[in-house]
Formats: sequence, structure tokens, C-alpha cells
Amino acid sequence: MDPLAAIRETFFQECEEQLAELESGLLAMEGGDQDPETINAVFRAVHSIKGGAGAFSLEALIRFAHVFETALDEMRSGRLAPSNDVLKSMLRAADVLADLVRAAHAGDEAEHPGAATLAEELRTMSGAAGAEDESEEDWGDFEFQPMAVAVEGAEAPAAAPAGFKVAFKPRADLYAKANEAALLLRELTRLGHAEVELDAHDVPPLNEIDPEAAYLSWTVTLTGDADETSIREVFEFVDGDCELEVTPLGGSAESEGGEPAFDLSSLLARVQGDAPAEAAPEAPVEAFEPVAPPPPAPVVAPVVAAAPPPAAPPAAANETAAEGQAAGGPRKTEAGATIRVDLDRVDRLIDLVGELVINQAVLAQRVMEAGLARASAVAMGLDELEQLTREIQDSVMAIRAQPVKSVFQRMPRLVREVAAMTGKPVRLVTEGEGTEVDKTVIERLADPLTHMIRNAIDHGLENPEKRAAAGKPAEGVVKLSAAHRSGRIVIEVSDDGGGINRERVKGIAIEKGLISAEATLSDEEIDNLIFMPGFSTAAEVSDISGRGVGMDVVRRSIQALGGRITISSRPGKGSTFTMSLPLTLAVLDGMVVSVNNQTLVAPITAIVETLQPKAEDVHSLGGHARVISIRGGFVPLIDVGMALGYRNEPLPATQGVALLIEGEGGARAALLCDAIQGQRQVVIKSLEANYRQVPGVAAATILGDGRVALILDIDTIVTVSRGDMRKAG
Amino acid sequence: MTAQPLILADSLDMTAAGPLHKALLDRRGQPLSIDASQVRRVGGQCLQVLLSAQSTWAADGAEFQIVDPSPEFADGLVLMGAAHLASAAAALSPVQD
Amino acid sequence: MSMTVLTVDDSRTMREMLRLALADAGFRVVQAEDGIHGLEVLQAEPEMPQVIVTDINMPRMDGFGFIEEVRGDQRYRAIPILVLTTESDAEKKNRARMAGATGWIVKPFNPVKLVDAIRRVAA
Repeated sequence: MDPLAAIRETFFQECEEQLAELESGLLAMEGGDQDPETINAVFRAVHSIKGGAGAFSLEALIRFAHVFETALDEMRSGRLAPSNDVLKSMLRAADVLADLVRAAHAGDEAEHPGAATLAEELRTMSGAAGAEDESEEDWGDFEFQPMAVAVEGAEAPAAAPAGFKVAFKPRADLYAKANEAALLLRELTRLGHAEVELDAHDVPPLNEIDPEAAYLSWTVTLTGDADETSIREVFEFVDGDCELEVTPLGGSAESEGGEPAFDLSSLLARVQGDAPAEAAPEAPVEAFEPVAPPPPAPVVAPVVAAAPPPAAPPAAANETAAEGQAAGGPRKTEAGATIRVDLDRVDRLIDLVGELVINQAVLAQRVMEAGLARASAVAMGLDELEQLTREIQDSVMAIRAQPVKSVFQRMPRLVREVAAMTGKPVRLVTEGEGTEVDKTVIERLADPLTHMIRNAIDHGLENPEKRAAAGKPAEGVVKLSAAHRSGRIVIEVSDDGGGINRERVKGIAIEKGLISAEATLSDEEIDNLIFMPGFSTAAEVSDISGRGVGMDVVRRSIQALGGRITISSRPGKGSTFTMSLPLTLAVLDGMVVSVNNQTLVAPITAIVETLQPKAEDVHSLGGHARVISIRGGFVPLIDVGMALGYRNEPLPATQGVALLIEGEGGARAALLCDAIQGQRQVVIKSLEANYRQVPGVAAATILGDGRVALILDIDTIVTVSRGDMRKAG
Repeated sequence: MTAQPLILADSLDMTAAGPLHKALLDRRGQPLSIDASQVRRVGGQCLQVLLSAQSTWAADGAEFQIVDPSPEFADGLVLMGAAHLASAAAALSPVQD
Repeated sequence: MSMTVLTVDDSRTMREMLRLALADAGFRVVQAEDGIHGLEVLQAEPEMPQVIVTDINMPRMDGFGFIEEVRGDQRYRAIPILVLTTESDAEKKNRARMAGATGWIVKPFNPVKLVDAIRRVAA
């Protein structure tokens, strides 16, 4: 990738981080956070976005960020009080800024519908806070020239003069800021032909001199093309730290420019005049005539003595510096607590630890096979190894773990938007934002959560009138929480709305032919109907919860993560959706089964129940297609051995065990296997990385005895078998 | 006795002015030879210390010379209009060899 | 020997922009994410940077604090510091100068002018 394009991507990535920071900061302030670092962080976020946007000339973004930043600066300086109204506007401004960032990323140049109004609002705020409006001037820097050089009194000379006389006298401050007279002179002499005259009049004798003061001054006669502007530009950084006079040559100024060059005699006079150092008079002797040429070189004898190893002071100074360094210096600061690591490296590590876990299991099995006593040193050492391996595995998994905060913090905006669209006042309460889960899980949580929260506001919460009638506060509450529970993460979305209207849900399900009119269903079963494909409770087509996308999609995405979702609802009190997800996608809770002497693993999350088929429940549909009757309904009975090509003749149903599974979209099937070996957690190894993709097989794992076991891809098996079924029927 | 030459540091920036000043004060009253062969850069503050030393030594009637100036040192002096400080040295340096 | 430049900026984007511009000009670039990190880098760098380019608005230790720290340290105080900031406003610039900044560059910077400014202040 072209390096600038790569940086551009970095910029947008960073923008997302800053937008999150911005929002959480503003929300914290809304919640009463008065820490000055919070507003500083908020300010920095917008400031940074503006800075980067400037680098890429993203005009709409720059413009809005600038106005936003100005308002935040007012707030930061205490001139604008962070009232609730102000913060609400700021939050909306943060939303607009997010939109603008995304539009810029997509290269979308359409006007943002809300940006202008909100910018005006922000401007009014800043104005009301009494800030002088500097925005116009500021723009100059952004729109015209990146490096605006402020040059006071710079005028292009009407007719170029023959040259300039530059009188320059540094102050001590100039040196203290690491500017250097020598470098300024160097720049100046590059502008044309230069004659440099040094004035050392003010240099005191050695016993009086302050080595870090400034005594020298220079007069440079510059001839050539140089104009006054470029001359003054040389001194741009030292404006105020020196005396500077630039006069065109040939003018009257020349007469006063006749300063002497280095005037050794006056200095000599002073040195001689105050030989006893203490009696040094202050007034310099000025009665000397300037001596234009340098004084004759002191008559000195050539140095004959060999130079000893450098024991000179500058070297000593270096040593002092080195000592300071060795001692760690005065400001030993705390190291940053984070490092950035390429995700591939972490994944490679996880992979290796997976191998380690398997290896350790293989070793344990061998030790057992060798008949070593449990209490033998080898077996005990192995136990410790196992313990250690498990800890390493957990630690490595923890590297990929991130707090759910990153996805939770996208929700406040969503709530604001949906609240505005539905006209329902809503308060979002979040809990357990710090709960950690695998990065991949987090990334895939955003969509289902978005959907559920929309759903909670749109369908869960009553409108304000109904709430008033029910004696509830007008403002509805949606709660989003996360917690670790028995090795999984549990995320709940609940609302304090009316709960599920079971009558209506059942009515719709019957109407849509999802259940028969006669079916008797428990409350729980009715509640779970909303997860059925095609089910939608919205009486009127709603813009918010999406069209034709229902809770079935949510359930499918949760299942795809190896998770489960359930609902509990209390009429008049509200509903709670509970998702339980694995902490990592690298291990899987599996049901280990055998099929034709092969060991296979079925993901537990897909399994509803296991059953022993009875002869009378199994019906043949012709060919090898069979169905099994379960509580009055029929589901396809799929012979896993046949589906994977392990055998050519179907296993008699009564000789096997069936796993009743539910695939994506709620399709059910019974998988016929030879036997169940048990449940265990397995480390997932990608099959594609090693072989090719195999239909019906999702991945592989290696069991404790070293054998490879395939992990079944439930959905593919069901889909493929269904096709067979249709052919058969 | 001939004093050992004072060897100037390679970077005569502002942080070198103080140590240079001190080193020179320590040698007050003795003939002084300053070796400028290591110098890679010279700034205004070290220049003023050297100029002050030169006149101080002259006033004391003691020998003061700068020997073996590096090209960077010589250039720096020219740039700052102080070529005379090393000109004697420049003339002398061939003799030294 | 190429010149080493230390850049201090909390924005990854800006750090990368600076690196690109400075590396193109043949400089060796070392980076820090804020003032404190900048001091750590100075301490750890075997090759003392000849110029520092720093942002102003940063967490933990901002540009003003960083400049003051550098100027107050005998080991580093001769290093020229250019402040890099979106602010063209005189107040920030003056505060940075009071703290001891050698010069400044207005963001978004022009790479040529950035390099030029560095060469101007570096020996």
C-alpha cells in the first residue's frame, strides 16, 4: 500500500478510538464527572481528529471539528459551563462528528444534514461564553498554507534595494531556547553575499563573564536578491529573543551602521584597568577608537609538548552527563502499561499453546498407558505440567481478551437515535463494561446487541402515555450488562417495558403458520416464539427494528459464536434477553461421539437433547432418507456416517444414539451416531489451514490420545441432508 | 613549564560554555594553548568565552593560542565574524607538525 | 551520519505522517507518545536526538511540561525543540516559547517546510 494511504487508514482507525473516547468522556461528564482530565481527553480527541483531517484535507471534517473544538476549549477553560443542555448538544455533535468521519472514510462528500445546524449551535455556545471569534483567522492556516509564517511589518520592497544591513543582538533567552546565533548567521549568509562583522564590545573579562549570558552582536551586510521578508523569516523563531534591525542599504541607516568590528582594545583596556578582579568597575571604557582589522596575533611559541590524553573540561562534562544517565536520571518515570502487538503474532501464540495443550494430553495418556502409578514422580510431574499448561493457555487467551466496553460504548448513541425516532424518552444503564472476552467475540457482538437494543426500545418500551397510565415514569430504562459466569460471558439486555404480549405473539405465530392453533405452549415457549424465523411483532412496519429482520437473526449470530440466547419476560414489568457466550473462539464445548470407529465432536451449543431412537418413531421416506418423530413432530434423521461417507449402508436407528440439534435459523434435525463418548472442551484447529475445506466438517481437534477428531459443521450437514431428503421425497 | 593544551569538546554548544569557562579560569596566569581539532560545531556562547579568554590572557601578558583548528571550527569563526581568533592558529598549525 | 529526530505526539496518524516526512528526508526517527514517554526515550536512546518535534496537547505530560523538563535537564537542554500544533493561536505558541521551545510548525505541516525548519535549528 502506498504509505500515505496506509497512514490514512491509521487515521480513520484512530478516529474511531477517539470518537469512543469523546463519547465516553462526555457521558461521564453528563454523569457528574468533574475530573479536569476528562474534559482534557475529550478536547484532545476532537483536536486530534481535526489535526489528522487537516493533513488529509478533509474539509467538512476539519470545519466541524474546529467549531466543536472551539466550544470544548471554552468548556475546558471554564468559560462555558457543562450544563446538561450543553452536554446533550455536545453528544449530538459527537454523533455528527462520527458521521463525518465515516463519510470521509467512505469518500462520501454529501452534505451532512445535521452538521450545519449543530455547528451553529456550538458556535452560539462558544460565542455566548464570551470567546472572541477567532475562527475566521484560524481558517487561514488550514485553507491556504500549512506553515503560515507571521511576519510583522513585512513588506515587499517597491524597488529591490542593493541589499540590507541586518543588525542582530541575541539575548540570553535565545540561547536558552536552543536557538543558536551561529545557525541564524548561517541561514542569513545563504540569502546572498554576506559580510559579517562581529561586535564583542560587551564581552567582559573571563572572571566576570557569565558564560550563558549574551554579549555578542553582529552586523551583516547582505547584498544580492534577498528581500526583507526572507531575512525576517530567518529570525522568525527568535522574535523577541533578540534585537533585530533590518535596513535597506544606501539609506540613511547606513551611517549608523558603521559599528566597529571586534574591538579588542576596549576589552584590553578593561582587563588591564581592573587587574584586581574584585575592584571591577562596571562602566566599560568607550573612549577607544574602533580597530577595524583584527589585532595582531599574539606572538606565541609553537606548541611542542605532546598533548596528554584529554582531561579537558568538556570531556569531564560528558562524563558527568554519562553518570547522570547511569544513575537513571532524576525523573525515572513509570513506563507505559501497554504495547501494541500484531494480532497475527498473538494468534500464532494461541495456536502454539493449543498444540502444547494437546501434546501435554498425549503425554498424559502415554504415561497412563505405560501403567505408571498415579503417585509416581513422573505422573505427579505431569500433573504440574498440566496445571502450568492450563495457566499458560488462560494467560494467552487473556491477551486476546478485551473489555466489552468497546462495543458497549457504541450503544448510547444508538439509544439516543432510536429514542428520538420513536419519541420515547430512554435512559441507558450499562454495567460490567470492564468484563473481558475474546476480541473476535466482541467484534461480532455489535450487530446482535444493536438489534436487541433497538428492539427493546421499539417493541419493549411502551410509549409515554401508556407508561403514565401504568404508573411508570415517562423515561423508560434499558439496561445492558455483562458479567462472567462459570467460564462464559453473560450479557443481558433488559427493559422496563410492558413485557411480551403473549396473546399477541401466539396469535401471530398461528397466523403465520409457525404453530398450530391447537398447540398448548408454556409461557416460556411462547416467549421463545419470537426467535422463530420470519416472526416479527411490530404491528406497523417500523423503521427502527429493521424490515424482515427479526430476533431469529440475533439468535443465529449468537449461535454462530457458540452462544445461546434466552428470554424471560414478566407482563407489565419488562423483558430480559440473556446471552451466554464462550470467552474465546479457540476452544469449544463439544460432545464427543463415535461414528464407524471415527471420533467426532459436535458443538454442545447446537445440541438440544440426546435420545435413543425407538423403532416405532423412525420412518423411512424411501432411499436412505428417514425421519424421526419427536413429541408429535417429525425431524429428519441424518446418519452422520453416511453424510460424511464413512459407510455406505445406514446404521439401524435403534443401534445408535441421536443428537437432536438445532442449526442456524432454528432448523432441527436428529444426527444419528454410533455412541456418545462424553463431553469435553476441545481446542479448535482450523482444518482449512492444514487440508482443504471438507463439507460437513467445521474444524478439527486433537484428543488426549493423540487422535485427530473432526468437529462437525452442523448447519452444512443439515442443509445437505435436507437436499437429499427433498430428492428422496 | 608549558601547560598542557586545552582540548576543546566536539560540540561547543550552550551547555559547553560553562565548563569551558571554568576550564579557562583554572588555567589563568599560565600560557595557554587550545586544541580545536576535535570541534565539530561552535556556538555564540562558547565564542564569547573564548574571546573573553583571549583578551584576558592578552591583558595578563600570557601566551594564548588556538592550535590545529578543525575546518568546522574555522568555518564557524568565519561565519560569526571572528576568524581572527583562529587566524593566528591557522598560520601556526603547519609549524606544529 | 544521519540526524536523529525525536517526535512526540499522541496521535498515531501524526506520528506516522512525521515519520514518513522525516524518513524521506533521510533522518533517523525515534517516536514517543507523550511527554513522559518522550523523556523515557531520551534516556534510553543511545544516540541523542539532534532535534525534537513535539505536539502540545497530549495525555500524561503535555508539550509544555515536556519542553520544561528537557530544558531543565543538563543532558538535553541544548536540543532544539520544535512544537507541532494545530494551534496557530498566539497564546499556545507563546506558552511553548516561554517553556523553552526553539521554534514551531503549524499543522497540518508541509513536509518540505518541516524538514526545512529542522535543518534551520539543527547544527
